[in-house]
Amino acid sequence: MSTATAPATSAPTSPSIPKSAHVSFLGAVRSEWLKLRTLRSTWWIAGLTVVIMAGIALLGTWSLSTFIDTDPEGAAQAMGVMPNGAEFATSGSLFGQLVLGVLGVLVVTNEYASGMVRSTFAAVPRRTPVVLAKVVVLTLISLVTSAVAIGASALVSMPFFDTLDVTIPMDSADTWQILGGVAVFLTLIALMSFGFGLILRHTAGAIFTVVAIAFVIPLVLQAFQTDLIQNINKFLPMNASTAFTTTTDAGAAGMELLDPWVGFAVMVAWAVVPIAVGTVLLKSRDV
Amino acid sequence: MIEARGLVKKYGSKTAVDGVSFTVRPGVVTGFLGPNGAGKSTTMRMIMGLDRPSGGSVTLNGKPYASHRSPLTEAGALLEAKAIHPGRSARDHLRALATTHGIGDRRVDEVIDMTGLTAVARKRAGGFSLGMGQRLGIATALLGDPKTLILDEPVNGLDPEGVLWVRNLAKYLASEGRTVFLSSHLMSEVALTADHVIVIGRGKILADVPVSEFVDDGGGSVRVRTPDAARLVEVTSADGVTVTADEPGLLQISGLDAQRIGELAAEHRIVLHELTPQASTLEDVYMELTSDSVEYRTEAPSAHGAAAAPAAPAAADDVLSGSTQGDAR
Repeated sequence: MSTATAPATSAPTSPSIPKSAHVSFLGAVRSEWLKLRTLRSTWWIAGLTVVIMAGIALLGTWSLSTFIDTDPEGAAQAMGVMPNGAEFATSGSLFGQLVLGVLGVLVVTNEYASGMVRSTFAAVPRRTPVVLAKVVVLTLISLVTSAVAIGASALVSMPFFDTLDVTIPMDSADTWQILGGVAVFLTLIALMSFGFGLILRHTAGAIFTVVAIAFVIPLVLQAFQTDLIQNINKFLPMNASTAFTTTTDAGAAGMELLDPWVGFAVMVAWAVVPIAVGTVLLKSRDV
Repeated sequence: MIEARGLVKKYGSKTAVDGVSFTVRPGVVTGFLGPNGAGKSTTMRMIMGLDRPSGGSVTLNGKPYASHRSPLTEAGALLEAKAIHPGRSARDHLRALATTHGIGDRRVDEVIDMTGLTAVARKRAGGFSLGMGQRLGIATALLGDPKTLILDEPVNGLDPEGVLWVRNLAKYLASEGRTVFLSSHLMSEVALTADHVIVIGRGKILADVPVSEFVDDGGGSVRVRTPDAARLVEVTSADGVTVTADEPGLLQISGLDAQRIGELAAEHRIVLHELTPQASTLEDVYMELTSDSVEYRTEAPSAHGAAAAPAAPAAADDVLSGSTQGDAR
């Protein structure tokens, strides 16, 4: 090859690459969606969320409906907590949040564990668009998964509604605040988990943190009935979201809660702050 | 074109890259040579914007990698550590990266074809052998048909056919006018593939020269044992031939190959007891060059030191202008 000594001044580009090819936010979103849907774990987690939430709703309504025959008084007391059928349909959210939390963590930590993150940031070297693209696809898949899980929960618990004498009043604003609130709450937990994954870059560490904050710490704190601790507990995700997704005082099970919209704002902060911190760290860290 | 100016990378108190400056030009294959831990991979990650330099700067065609509108068509990299999720198929991996730039499946299938992965493209990458993983890494680097290719130890794990393929690919891409920057810890690999070589040791540039220059002086030396040394020196003396006598009756001749020396000896009826072309002297040059900067040394120092002693000095002096004092001497 005599041309080797006199190289061309500019390399030819493959005709199958469009001249206009460039990195874009929409491209990053498409990429993240493709990455998410091409991993089996995504579908396992989504499926598990639906099964767990529907399973808990089924068990709850079924056991209560048998309870009502044997101990009508006790059942009536328990029923007072959940006068709206929508609350039965969302009773599995405490566990559903943990499963979706794992999805949120994995969306980022599996890239660090496998080294994929180097390919990702070589393609989108500015990094922040990757974070935002992941937020978009995680929000969508979490909302859809939550909606399906809540729908499935409603379906499996409905056969017991006659016995329990409850309905899901579709024309009631409360119903939609409960159903929508729980779907949003589950999504925000997934986003919060994503944020901790971004900060910690390690699957086990991030999941541990999420389970502690979303589940263990609020339950432990409930044992300490001092004002200070209860004031702290109000602001943890579990209780902040309950403030929004419970329409009766009884739903608080004797606990003092934030105002619904304050609770909602606190929940949003739980998602936004870790992601913001994680993004700032990401910009300065080596991959 | 890659330009590094005073590039520094520190990890805590350890300095991995210590103020390196170099230019990698388009149209040729540039080898990046150095022992393990010399700072090759760190430098390459900084070029790709994955590691933040602690000081200095590095640009690709005049701009930092991240500032380009279309990074994937600007540069593609195969980095040493795996950069692929094991649960995703090779094709989906490539599609996910291509789609960030609006590059379609046609190009994805093209690079799959180029790298010989067609048969396994829809299989999960986790089941790939080292060699297939390496091919997928190269396919990733080629995805945007980039102007600059950065290949960190590209022949690692490849079979002989794959090694040859990478060599030819690197040369071909350079001949198209692309910038090809290829690292290796093996001198022989660089000598076979590269036109220009940058040697790094302990984070510092030790040499930045054309491979021909790096290799020339030491190359082609032949050890000759003869009872008639004086006459052999006489008949072989010519322009460009240097003869050194290490001990009585033992000559070190460079500038002539063994065949020619044998023919000359026969012509003049000179008895030869030994006629040995010297093993890769460029390896010796490299060894000497980096002997001070090898991060992890095995405790068998005498073996290569002794072998290197006779052949290396001439080359080392010319190439290095005394920048290192190899312990071989």
